[in-house]
Amino acid sequence: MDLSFLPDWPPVWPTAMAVAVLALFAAAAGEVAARWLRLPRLLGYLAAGALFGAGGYVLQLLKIEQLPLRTMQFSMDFAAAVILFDVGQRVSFGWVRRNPALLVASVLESGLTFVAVYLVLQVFDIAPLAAALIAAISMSTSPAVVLAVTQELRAQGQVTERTLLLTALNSIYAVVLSTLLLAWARVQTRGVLDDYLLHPAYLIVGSLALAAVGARLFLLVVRFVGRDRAAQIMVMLAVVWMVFASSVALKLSPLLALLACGAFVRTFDKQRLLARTDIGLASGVALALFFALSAAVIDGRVLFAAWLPALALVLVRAVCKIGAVSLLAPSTGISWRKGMWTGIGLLPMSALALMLTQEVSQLNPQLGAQTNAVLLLSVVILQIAGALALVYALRESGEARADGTGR
Amino acid sequence: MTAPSTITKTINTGSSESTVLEFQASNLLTVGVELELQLVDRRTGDLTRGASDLIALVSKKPFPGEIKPEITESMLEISTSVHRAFAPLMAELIAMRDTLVAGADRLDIEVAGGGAHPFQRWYDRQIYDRPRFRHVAGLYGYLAKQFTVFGQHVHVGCENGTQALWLLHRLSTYIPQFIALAAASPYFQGVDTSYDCSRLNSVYAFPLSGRAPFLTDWPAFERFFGKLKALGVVQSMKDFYWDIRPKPEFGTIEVRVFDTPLTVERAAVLAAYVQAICRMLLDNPVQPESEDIYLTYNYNRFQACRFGLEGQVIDGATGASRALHQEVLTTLERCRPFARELESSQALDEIERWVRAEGNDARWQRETFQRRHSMSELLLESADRWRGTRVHAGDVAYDRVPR
Repeated sequence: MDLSFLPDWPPVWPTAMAVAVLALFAAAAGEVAARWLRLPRLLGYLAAGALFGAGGYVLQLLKIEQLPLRTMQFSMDFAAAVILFDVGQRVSFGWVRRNPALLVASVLESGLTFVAVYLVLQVFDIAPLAAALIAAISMSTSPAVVLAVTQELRAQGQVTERTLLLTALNSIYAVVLSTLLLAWARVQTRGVLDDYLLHPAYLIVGSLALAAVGARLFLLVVRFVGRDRAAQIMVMLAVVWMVFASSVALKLSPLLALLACGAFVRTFDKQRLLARTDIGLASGVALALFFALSAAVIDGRVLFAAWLPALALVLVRAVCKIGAVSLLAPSTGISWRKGMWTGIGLLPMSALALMLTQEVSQLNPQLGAQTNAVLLLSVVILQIAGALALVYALRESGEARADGTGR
Repeated sequence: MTAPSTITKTINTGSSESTVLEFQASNLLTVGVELELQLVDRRTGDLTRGASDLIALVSKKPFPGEIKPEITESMLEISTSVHRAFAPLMAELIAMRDTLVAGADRLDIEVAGGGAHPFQRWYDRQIYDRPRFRHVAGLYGYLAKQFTVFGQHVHVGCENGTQALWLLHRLSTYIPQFIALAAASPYFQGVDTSYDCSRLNSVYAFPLSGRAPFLTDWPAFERFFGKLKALGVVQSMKDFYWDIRPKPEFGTIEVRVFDTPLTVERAAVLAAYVQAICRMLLDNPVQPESEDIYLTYNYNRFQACRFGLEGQVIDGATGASRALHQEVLTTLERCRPFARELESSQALDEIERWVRAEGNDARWQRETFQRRHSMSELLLESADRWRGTRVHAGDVAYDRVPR
C-alpha cells in the first residue's frame, strides 16, 4: 500500500501557523480577562502572548516550531502601523490651535519627564547618551493602550480626548528627540558632524511628506468607494501598508509617518468623509494581534537585568506626568481633578516604545542593550499597570460608558 | 428671569407644604428665551459628553444670561434675561452663542441647535448627576433617555395669574403656527420620520403633556393643581409638559412647542413673533369663548408637526380649512401695527421671508441630508450653522471664526 500521499509525522507547519494559533489563544484570553476578571481585554492578549513567548512552552507541547521572530516582528510592525494611523485620525490636532494652552501643557509634561528621568538614570550610573535615549522614549505614552482601552470602555469626554491628544503629541516628541540623539550617537562613533542635522532633517521632513501623500491618496480613494465598509477598510489597510513599506524602504520613521498620516487625513478632510468612515473593526483586530505578539517576542532573559533603574523610571515618570498635567489643567479649561485623571491616563507604555530602540540596537548594539535593559521592564510594568490606571481614570471621571465586559 | 433658588425650592417642595401657587407679577409682554442645546462630537457628529465641563468653563467669566445642565451630559440649557424689545434680546442671544462656541472650541466639542439628534441611540445617554434628573430618570425609565430632544421655550410676562390663563388660552390657536415655523426635527433615531417636527411626538409620550385644562381664573387653577398634588400625581408645575404652561414663580406663561432652531437669530425672531401676537391679543380683551376653542386643537397640532407650513388647519369657529403658511401671513398682517410699537417689525419681516422663501429649519435639514447623504455630516453642518458661519470644512475652517 502506497501511503506517500500522507504527510510526514509530525507535519511541517508553515510559519504563519504559529501566528494563527497565537491569535486564537489571544481571542479567548481577551474574553477571559473581560468576562471573568473584569479587566481590559488587552491584558488577556498580553497573557496569551507571554505564554507563547516564554521559551515557546505551549508551542513545544503542540509540537509547533518556535515562533519565527522575523515573521512575528513583521506582523507586529504592521499591526502597530494600523494602530498609529487610527490614533492619528482620532486626534484633533486643530484643537491645539484653538486651545494653545494644551500645547504648552503637552510640551511641559514631556519636557519635565525627559529631564527628571534623565537625572534619575544618572544616579544609577547609566551613560549619558543611553540615559538621554531612555528618557526621550519614556516621554511617550502608548497609543496602542490608550486606543484599546478608550475603545473598549467606549469612553467619551474631556479626559478621553485629552489623553488621546497628549499621547499623540508626546509620541511625536519621543520620535523626534530620539532621532536627534541617535544622530548625535552617530557623530560620536563616526566623527562626521554633517549627520547631526542632515539625518534628523531628512527623517522628519521625509516622514511628514510621505504622510501627506498617503493622506491625500486615502481621501481620494475613500471618496470614490463611498459607503461600503469593507472597501473603506481595504483602502485604509492598503494606504497604511504603502506608507509603512515606503517609510521602511526610504529609511524614514514609520511611527511618525503613520501618526502624521492619520492626522493629515483628518486635517485635509474638508468634506468630512471621515464622519462616515468606520475603520474601527480593522484597528480592533490590529490591537489584539499587536498586544499578543508584543508579549510573545519579549526576551525574558534581559527582563530583570536592570530592575532598579527601571522601577525608578516608572515612579519618576508617573510623578512628572500626573503632576504637570494636573497643575496645568486649569489653564487649558478643565479642573485640576480632571487634569489628574488625564495625567494618570498618560501612564501606559507599550512595545511601540521598544520599536524606537530597535534602530539603536542596529546602529550601536552596546547602547541598544543598555537602553533595552531599562526600558523592557518599564514597558512591561507600564503596559499592565498603565492600562489599569487608564481604566481607573476613565471610570472615576465618569467617561467610561461600557463596563468593559462588552455586555 | 430664572432664579436658581426658586427652582431648587420647587424641586424640594414636599407634600407637606401648602398647595397655593403664588403668581409673581411681571411686567406685561416682557419676554425671555430658553434654549436646549446639543453637544456634538467634532469627528462623528454623534452626541458627546461635555455639559459639566463646558458649564464649568464658561462660568469662570460672567456669562451673558444663564447656563444650566439638562437631563443628560450631552445637553445644556441657556436662558436669556428679561427683555422688552427684539434688538437687545437678539444681542444677548448672540453674545451667549459666541461665549458658548468659544468655550466649546477650547474643549473640542460642537454645539448645535435642532429639535432632535438625528441618529443618537438613547441607551448611550448618561443622565446628569442631579437629584431631580435622577428622579425623572427613575420614574420614566427609557422614556427619559429617549427624551434627548431639544426645545425652545419662550416666556411672556403677565401681571397676574388670571391674565396669564386668559393669554394662554387665546394663544393656543397660534400653536400650530409656532410648531410649523420652528420645526427642526425631521430625523430621529436614524430615520426620516416624515414629520417636520418629530420632537413633540416624544413629548406626547409623557402622561402630563398636551394642553392645559380649560380653566380661566387663577384660584380655579390653584384648586386644580392642589387636587392633583394631593392625589400625588404631581409635585410641582415642572411635572406638567404642556404646550403652554403658566410659570407662577416667574410670572409668565411659557410656550414650549418650538424645536430649538438651528441659529440663535431664529430663536430671537420666534420670541418676537410670540410677543407681537400677545400684544395683538391684549388689544382685544374678549373673554375666551367656550372650551370649543380646543375642538380642533390636536388635529391642527398634528397637521403642523407632520406637514410643517404646508399643514392644513381647521378654524374651530368657522370650519374653514387653510394652509398654515396662509395663516402665518394673515397673522403677520394683523400684528404689524403692534410690532412697530414693540420695535420688532424686523422680526416679522424675517418670518415673512421664511414663509415666502426659506422655509423652516426642517426643510434645510432635509435638503442638507439629500445633498450629503449622511446624518453625521448633517449634524456637523448644523453645528456650522449654529456658529453663524457657513463654512463646510474640517478643522481648518475654524480659523475664520471671529472671536
